Amino acid sequence: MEVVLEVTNIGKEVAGRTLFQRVTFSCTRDTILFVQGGNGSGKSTLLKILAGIYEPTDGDVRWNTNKIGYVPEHFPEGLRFKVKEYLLLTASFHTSAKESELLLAKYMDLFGLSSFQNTPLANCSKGTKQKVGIIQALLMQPDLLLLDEPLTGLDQGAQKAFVSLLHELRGQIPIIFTAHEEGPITQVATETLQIETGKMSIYQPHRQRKPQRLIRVKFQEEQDLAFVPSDRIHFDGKTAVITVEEDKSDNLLRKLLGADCSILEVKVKS
Amino acid sequence: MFHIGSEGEIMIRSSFIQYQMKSYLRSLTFIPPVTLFGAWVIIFYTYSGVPIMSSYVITSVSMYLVMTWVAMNVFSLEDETEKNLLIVQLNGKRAYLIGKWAVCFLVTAVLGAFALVYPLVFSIFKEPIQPVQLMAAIYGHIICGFFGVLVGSFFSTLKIESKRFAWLSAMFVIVISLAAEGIVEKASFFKWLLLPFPPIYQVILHFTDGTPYVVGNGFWLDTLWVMVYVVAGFFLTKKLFLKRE
Repeated sequence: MEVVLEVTNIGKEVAGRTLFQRVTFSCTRDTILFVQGGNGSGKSTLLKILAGIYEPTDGDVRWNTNKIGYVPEHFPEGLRFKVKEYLLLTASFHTSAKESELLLAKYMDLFGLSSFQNTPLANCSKGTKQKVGIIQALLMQPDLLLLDEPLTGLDQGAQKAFVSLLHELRGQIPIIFTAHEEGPITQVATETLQIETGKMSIYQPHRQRKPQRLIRVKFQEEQDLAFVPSDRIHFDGKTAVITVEEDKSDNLLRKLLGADCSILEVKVKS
Repeated sequence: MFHIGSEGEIMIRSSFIQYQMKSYLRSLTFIPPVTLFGAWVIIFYTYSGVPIMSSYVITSVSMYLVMTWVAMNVFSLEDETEKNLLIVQLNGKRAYLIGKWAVCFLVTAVLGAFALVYPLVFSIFKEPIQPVQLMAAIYGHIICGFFGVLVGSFFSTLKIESKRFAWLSAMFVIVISLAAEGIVEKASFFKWLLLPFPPIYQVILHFTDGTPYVVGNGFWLDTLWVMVYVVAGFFLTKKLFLKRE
């Protein structure tokens, strides 16, 4: 299948600090890529490089596209247009007015924006602006869609509508998105990119993970629990709550009893 | 590899110019420079019977100042996110920059037309204008406007530490370029140092009031240098913009 986007060993340095390095992947029309990484790992910067806004410090990006749709994390403040006027004006950079009007009506309806079409953007809420940001990218009828935290500020209905729209677009254009945590949008992903390692892999949805249990224990000394990984334990005075995978819980309980801890509670993590 | 056909580029430019014009007009930042220029032209022509070319030289120099102001306003219309979004929507920084310049040139055309036509409509000059004088005056207003756009866009692109320094630097260039001839007369070794500054003197030098008006000997050579300067200036600013943004 034709490669739409090819990224080879790119890295980005900002003010002497390396955000990421040796990121390599390629996208075809079937790709829906979930970019994962911690705060400040450069997810938004990577998307800006893919959108052609920034240049990478190292490496090479090759596009086989005519139009890119880009949804920024925060929609610009202080735009001097009304909702419909802005969307038609930016859509007319690429498509005819008649074509844009039809598509616009469809998306306005989908996101429940019909009653806001003559509202100045400056008066819109964060969620409404985010919807406008998504619609402007879709109206371009892009060959590549880049979404930076697209669900931020959207209500449940709009989130659902947007995720089902992404399902519809699956196989038509490559989609690359970032998200802080797993949620409805990540279920659409086909692949994932760990920005820290720079490698792409098949996406394993969260729901396929093993069920978890919470164990509440009373301990004598904090160092008695040193064998529990720090990201799995939460201390509260002389008690602690430990998260453990269900099939490992019996083994952990034995260890805890051996370390003179009292088991206060064991329950399934919801 | 962005592929855009020529039809696409025309479509981009016209609708982006519309976007920019609406945004500029609604920002109201056009009011101070445009009002000042309009009022200045009207006050300047309060008395009739004035010489043609030495009046036009004043409005040409005013165009230089006002268009620097307008260009700096136009180039700071958007915040960073809106600019980034426009660059993606327009398929690149080049179309964005050209759209900005197009808006500045439109404003140059409107202000220049006003400055040229106003004294003719109200018969303010002491004698009828000759076609060659009119041509020279049009050339002078357009070139001075272009110099202003160049200085304004160059210093907006340069992103000197703060906006205040960008303004100060632009004002410095304007003052030096206007005073260039006087500086060179006092100390000729400045001649080469002043080469990077807009050659405004080479334009206004030819606005003489002799009757009949004749184009001086050095006019074409000076015009050639002015053209080379304008083309090189816009080329350099484009390179700088593509590199820095």
